Amino acid sequence: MRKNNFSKLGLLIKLNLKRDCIKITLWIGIITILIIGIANKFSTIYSNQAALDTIVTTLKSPAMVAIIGRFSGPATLANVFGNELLTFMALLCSIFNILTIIKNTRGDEDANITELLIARNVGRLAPTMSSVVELLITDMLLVILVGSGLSVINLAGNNITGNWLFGIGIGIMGLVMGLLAVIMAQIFSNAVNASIASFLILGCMYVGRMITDNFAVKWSWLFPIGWLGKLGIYHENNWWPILFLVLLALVFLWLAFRLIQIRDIGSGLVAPKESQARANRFLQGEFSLLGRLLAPMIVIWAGALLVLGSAYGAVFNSVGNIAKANPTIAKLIGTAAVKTANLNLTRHFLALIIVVIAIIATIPALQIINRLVTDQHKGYIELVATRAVSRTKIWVSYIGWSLLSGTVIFSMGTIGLAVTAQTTMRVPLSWHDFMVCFFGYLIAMLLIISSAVVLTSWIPRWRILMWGWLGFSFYVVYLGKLLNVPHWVVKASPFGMLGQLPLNKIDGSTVCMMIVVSCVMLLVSWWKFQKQDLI
Amino acid sequence: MVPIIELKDITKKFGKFTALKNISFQINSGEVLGFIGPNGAGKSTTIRILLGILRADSGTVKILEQDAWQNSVAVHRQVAYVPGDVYLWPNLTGGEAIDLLLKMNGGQHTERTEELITKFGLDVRKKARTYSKGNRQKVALVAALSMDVALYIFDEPTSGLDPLNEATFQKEVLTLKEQGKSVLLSSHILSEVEKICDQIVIIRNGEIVESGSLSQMRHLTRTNLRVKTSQPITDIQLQVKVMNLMQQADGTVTMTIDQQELSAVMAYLAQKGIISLVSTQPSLDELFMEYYQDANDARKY
Repeated sequence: MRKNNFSKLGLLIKLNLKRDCIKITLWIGIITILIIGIANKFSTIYSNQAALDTIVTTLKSPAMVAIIGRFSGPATLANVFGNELLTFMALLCSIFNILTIIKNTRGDEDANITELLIARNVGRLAPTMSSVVELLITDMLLVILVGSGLSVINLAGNNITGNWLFGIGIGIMGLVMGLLAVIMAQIFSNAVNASIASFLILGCMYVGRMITDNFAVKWSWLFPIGWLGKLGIYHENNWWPILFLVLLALVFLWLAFRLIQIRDIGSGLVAPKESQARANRFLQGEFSLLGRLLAPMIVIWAGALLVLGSAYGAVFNSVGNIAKANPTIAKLIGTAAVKTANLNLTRHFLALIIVVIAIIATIPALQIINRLVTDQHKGYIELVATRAVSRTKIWVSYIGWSLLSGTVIFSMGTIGLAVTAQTTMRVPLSWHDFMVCFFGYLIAMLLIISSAVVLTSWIPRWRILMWGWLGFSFYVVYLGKLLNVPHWVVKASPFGMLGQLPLNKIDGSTVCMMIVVSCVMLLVSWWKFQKQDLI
Repeated sequence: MVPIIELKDITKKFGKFTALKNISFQINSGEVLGFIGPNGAGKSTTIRILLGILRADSGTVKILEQDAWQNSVAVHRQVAYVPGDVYLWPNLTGGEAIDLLLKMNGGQHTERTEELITKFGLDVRKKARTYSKGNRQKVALVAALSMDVALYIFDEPTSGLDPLNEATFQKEVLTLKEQGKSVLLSSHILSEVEKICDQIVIIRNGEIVESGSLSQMRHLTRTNLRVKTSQPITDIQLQVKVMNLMQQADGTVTMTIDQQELSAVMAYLAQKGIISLVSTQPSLDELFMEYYQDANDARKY
């Protein structure tokens, strides 16, 4: 009978891989490019031993220990790289694994696909097993790409074992979290709750590790994500944390299969709890409804950007410290000049970081614009539009929430960045610099949001182009300098139109033009929304 | 009489495909109109035009003497609507969705709402994502029926309900009718339409093929006969036009005849010596089949 549980497994694996082909390629591609791209730039970021020593001091500060884990080993390029990136990349890989497997297990069950399959000659465990195998294949691919990529980059102080250990650490951590998500998918009766539970556990592990790494290193054993810190990549190269993670993965898999066999298809082990029978006074109409639906997403993004901004802010101190990095220069140019040079360096760093935060904060804003179309397809807008709610109100609700959430999320990122940077720096930047960046890029955000609105209302089929423009913006403003992208190409991005803030002065006429163009685009889209069929 | 709904020569195209051709009908106050037709005939499209969700390419749509597109907000205050596919916001509970839908029309949760929730047996504390199709329909039905408006539009409202809830719905519509409300009911369940509707409009391939009261339509069409004669009527098909001729086990013969053939058939049967004769009117199902036979034939090609 046991064999029947996995009937048609091969076929399902093939189907899964075919379905998720693009998604897998994108995720693996992004994670690999991030790791290899940063590794490639590492020798230019930290060009001498003094710079490495400075960053190691920073990495040993409580804030950085909290964010990336306890620094261990010598101050070599490879070791700094390993310490800086391991935890974050493992987190990224875990997020990918959780999202993919929840969608393929509980998500398919929500959509009644699993029921359809089990009713045929497909084993009870086969759909879940096929998703697990899919993860195993993708994680292995990632390990190979990262391991061999790092070996090719050949950072000073690296060794082959360390390179592969880095890759395997990320991959197995992702897989363990993916399998934990499978367990959550059995416990909860819908994909949303299963994802929330998985991410909550991931978040708790991260916070737990954050606390124990700072105050009680021995106890960071309690959290699997803390095991990565025990790998000692490039210096100790311990394999036993990997062994433990593999064992944990097997335990999770066994547990998940046990749970599948004792529950009904379509239901979870935890019955969904009863909730309010009446709408409270905050739920009044379309605008408050959207607010209620979007709130979790906005809070998560705002929190994430606050953390990201603070993480970047914490390194400002070590960036703007030429004197420590190169004492000879300090002696040559004098204390006052060093101060100016330090500030200049920090402002350049600010210019690079804040635009990234702005672009990331634009993602949820564009997602809301996208919902103006997808909610029509899903029939949610029809339900509202057939009440005494005008189209203008519906339209303004979506556009308003998009602009509002973009602004709030961006301001959280800016606040996190500004507060940590200003409090940790010996010579703080002018607060004015942060304000200039914030308002300048807010206008850039307005422009890209309104063009997304035009796309969704006039040629909804091509609305994917809005992501293209955002991706292009990220590419040219973040990597443009390194890749020698021509000036006019940078200007073609809304985030490049005002020049590099706060280094360049904001050009009043460009700002006016951007605002006027945005308003015109919004107006024609509003006009179109009044006339169009809601399908 | 005040026309509640007045559609005149409505045409709607989606690209090159003509979804509706010159649709015209009206509903007067206090009337219950059954709107029937096969899948894809244009029922939902018509209803969406009535509600200002879709815009007609030509023709006029008036609800309570106001333009349904231009004054959609004012019109919607006087209309309660239950869509064919009810999609609820997954993270709201059924109760929250009901209250919200009521608030959006300027109404509020009343005792009547509670009464309807009990009648339909709806668990309002559950999140909409856990609801089956029937439960989502109940949410929309409760929200619609607890409103006191002039016009109720139901687009296949009972397709996911069990027979008990179906009966509850029919009772509620009959109550609305007694109160002098107007109802547009699009349905596949013909016995339901037969039970509660005064007027019927049949639509096929985007065109109205028949409209009128049920009795008028029966008059236009066919009659079923069950007859027993003293002499055999084996040559009946040579003499008059009959359909579905069947020799029954009890010695009677059943047949279907067109209304205009009735006197010719009766004359023929009289010659053969009628022992018993039962004439029954066709049910709406039979009318329906008759009208759609061609549509289904067309589908094959």
